[in-house]
Amino acid sequence: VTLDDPMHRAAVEELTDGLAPVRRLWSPWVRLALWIALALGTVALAAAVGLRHDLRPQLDRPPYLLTLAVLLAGAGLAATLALLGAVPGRIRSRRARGIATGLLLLAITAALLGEPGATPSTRVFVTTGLRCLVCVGAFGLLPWVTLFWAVARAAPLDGPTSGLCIGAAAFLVGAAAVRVACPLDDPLHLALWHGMPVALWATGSMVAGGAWLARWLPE
Amino acid sequence: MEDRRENVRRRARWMAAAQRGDGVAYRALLDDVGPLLQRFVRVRVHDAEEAKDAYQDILMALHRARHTYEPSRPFEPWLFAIARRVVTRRHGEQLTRDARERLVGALPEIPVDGDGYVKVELEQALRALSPDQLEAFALLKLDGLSIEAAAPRAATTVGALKVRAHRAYRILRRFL
Repeated sequence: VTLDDPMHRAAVEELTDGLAPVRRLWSPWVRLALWIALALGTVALAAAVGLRHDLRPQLDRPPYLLTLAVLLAGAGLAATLALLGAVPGRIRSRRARGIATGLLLLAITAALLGEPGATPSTRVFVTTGLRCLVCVGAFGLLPWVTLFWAVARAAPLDGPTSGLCIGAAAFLVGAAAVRVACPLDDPLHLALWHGMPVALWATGSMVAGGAWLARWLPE
Repeated sequence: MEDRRENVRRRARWMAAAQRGDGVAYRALLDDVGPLLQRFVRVRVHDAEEAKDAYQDILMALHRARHTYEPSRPFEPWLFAIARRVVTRRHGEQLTRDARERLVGALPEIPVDGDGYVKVELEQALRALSPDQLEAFALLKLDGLSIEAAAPRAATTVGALKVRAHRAYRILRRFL
């Protein structure tokens, strides 16, 4: 191919012919700030409607605060990776994949920072657990939809990695919301019903990302 | 060094103008980065036809992602991140295609019962073509016209018809 090649000339003609102005994306940092506001709003909503009545004293306890901080920091970091990864040249995908995987492990570890309590019956353990599993998904849904939309509007180079980052970010917010809403602090409950759903939903998001996010690339 | 800096600034300016719909600046930018992209592709793709396809795909991807470029940042990392991704993706698709073709090659003696599946695949493939691509395919391969004779019939230039036909063949190859 040379610049005089008819193929190059035709491709340039096709692209420049009737070129329309495009609306430039907002900076990833502005979009991130808006998304973080939404994430914090979700957690605040969970605190308002949740079943935890000892939230104020709990917030004075460092282990509880640490768990929340890890979940929210992980969410913010994953959202940053997702938004930066959707702007070509801003971040290398392999590094993003490594960090996203690390975030999921971090979330599960954070979920384990509970305090052993009385062991409930299996029926209670499962019913309360299933409620939390659904709530992690429900509280994470709006952050997921908005972040997925924001990333899809840009040009993500690696669909599955972007999907994983989006899922990790949104459902870590879901896990943080459920942590302030759920009155149970049992480590097994937290690991299984707060931590694992993040991994599950994030995996689903990775699949969705693989299917949808790289569609802008020519086939 | 100063020339290089000026090139970087000029490309960023052209791309910002292209985002505002300035076709002249966009054309200048594409002609300017063309040789860089060709070198980039030639180093990574050794088959000449495949290199042409990859080059076209990079230009198309650049066009589709142009709203993501931030004029305050240098143009080249943005461009080459796209180019690298397109080449990697095509390489992955090539490997998948090769593996599939080898598997088919290993089944020589099984008779084909009918052409029902082939028809379905063909219909699917033809549905995947845009009207322009379908017209190019029909004129060149079904009507058997030369590219020069077909171009006026499609009310386009020889080069544009070549591009449409080329894309149509690639889509059909993927389906069939």
